[in-house]
Amino acid sequence: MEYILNTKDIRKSYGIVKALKGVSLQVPKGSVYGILGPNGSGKTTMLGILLDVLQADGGQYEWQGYSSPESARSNIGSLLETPNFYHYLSATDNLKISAAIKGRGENDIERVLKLVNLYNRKDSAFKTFSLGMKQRLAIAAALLGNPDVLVLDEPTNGLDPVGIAEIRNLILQLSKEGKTIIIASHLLDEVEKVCTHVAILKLGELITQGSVLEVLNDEDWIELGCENNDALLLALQSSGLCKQVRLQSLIIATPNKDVSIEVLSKWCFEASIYTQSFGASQTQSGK
Amino acid sequence: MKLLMIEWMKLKKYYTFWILTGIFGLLYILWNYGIGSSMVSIGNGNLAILSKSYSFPQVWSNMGFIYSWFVIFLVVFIIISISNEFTFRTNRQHIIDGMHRLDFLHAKAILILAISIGATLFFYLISLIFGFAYGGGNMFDENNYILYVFIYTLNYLSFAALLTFFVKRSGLSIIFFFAYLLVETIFTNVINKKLNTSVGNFTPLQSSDELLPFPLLDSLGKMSGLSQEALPAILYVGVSLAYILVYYLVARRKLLQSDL
Repeated sequence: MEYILNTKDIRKSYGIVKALKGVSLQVPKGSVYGILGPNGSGKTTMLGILLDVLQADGGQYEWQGYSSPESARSNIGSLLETPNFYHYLSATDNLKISAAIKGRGENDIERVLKLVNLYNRKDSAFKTFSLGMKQRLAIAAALLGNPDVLVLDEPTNGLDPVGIAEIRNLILQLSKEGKTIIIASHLLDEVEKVCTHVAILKLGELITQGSVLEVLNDEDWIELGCENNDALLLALQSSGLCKQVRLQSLIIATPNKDVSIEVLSKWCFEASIYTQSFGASQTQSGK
Repeated sequence: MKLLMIEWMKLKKYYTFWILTGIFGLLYILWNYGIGSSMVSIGNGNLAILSKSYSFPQVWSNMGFIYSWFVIFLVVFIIISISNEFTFRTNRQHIIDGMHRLDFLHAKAILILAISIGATLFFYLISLIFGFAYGGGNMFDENNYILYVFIYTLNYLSFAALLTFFVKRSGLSIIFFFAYLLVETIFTNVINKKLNTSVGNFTPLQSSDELLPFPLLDSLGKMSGLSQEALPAILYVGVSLAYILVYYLVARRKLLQSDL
């Protein structure tokens, strides 16, 4: 598996408080990777280190495929903690500054403002925005330039239920486009709904990491993908072979009790579906 | 150029910038106009003594000295603009947007350089106008004060920026700046008197103050033999530039090693 990010033994202390006690993460390329943990578990500290706003006390990290941390960061869209913009400037003016820093043109500003439903307030000053609108603007800034990787710290913070659903759909949409998305959240529900992989942090320690179904679900699952995942999703849903089928970056299927990986493989073959990716949870593969 | 453009995008709609630079420019012109037109008089009656100092070449040193008071408005602006980046955490936003930590420092250094150049050009232009309006003379004599004004501004603004990188709060930074100014002035005078030398003149801000002395007092001091023999101005230029380099290196170390 190709990883977009590798961290090894990252450590960070604030005085006597050990915020991170040697955390090693591997984020697969194209995944939606959730960092799940309660407040104070070290999620934001971890992301802060990866985005260079905090200095680690020890350990290493590497953004794969980039020659330097700087070149990696210009391809990463990020939202870290609370949105920080110039209160006297409008949404557009603030995004112009972000675009200039990223070395992108201003043409993309309209697109990202529309994506986060903020276009009708593009000329309003940041100080007049509600918390939810500020959060949307921060997400818009992260999306500027259509980066390959997104790092989002509590992206649905401050949003109303409709806004939360919109942002989750946007994350799923971006994931379908092949982007790698790293999300820090304290909401299990959020991670389950949008993530393909998860790492659980507690008091600065990594408890476990792996695919969402592996970590959060006891049931067997099968991961598969083909050229047209949308069509495969519909076919699997109507096949009667699976209890649950979800489309993330790949199809995640929870098969019925009597359906093995061989049965599903045979069904694909008979339906002329040529899978490019086929994997199963440990128990399934041992069936 | 990109960094300067980013700073300009922040400033062009920032009222505090226009208000403080406006006050700086307006008060500087009005103050000099007041003296030049003999609206400000010494002793009883309008003696018009000071207005004579507006002809070339004295205009450079006199207006340079008055300029040194008003630079404080630019100092306050630099402190507010940098501390705002920390208060509103926009410096963090810049870094997560992909700006290198050093670029943040360089953006502020370029802004300080641009303001220093702008303020020096303003000084030059206003001095020319006053010089021609109040006496004339050779405008090319003693115009090395243009360089001194530039160095003075650069030193004061850079020092204020360094202080703000450490203190991070605008109110506190302004208080510390004035407190330091007071302490440094006392220290300089005490050291110079006690040791009967000019060594006290080489403190960070005093080294630039020496470039723009009060011309009348300076002349009287030399005539009466009460003041030390003045050291060459180029020495103070060199010392001021060395301090500016030290501020840069300290700020660089601070920014590269600390959490934002």
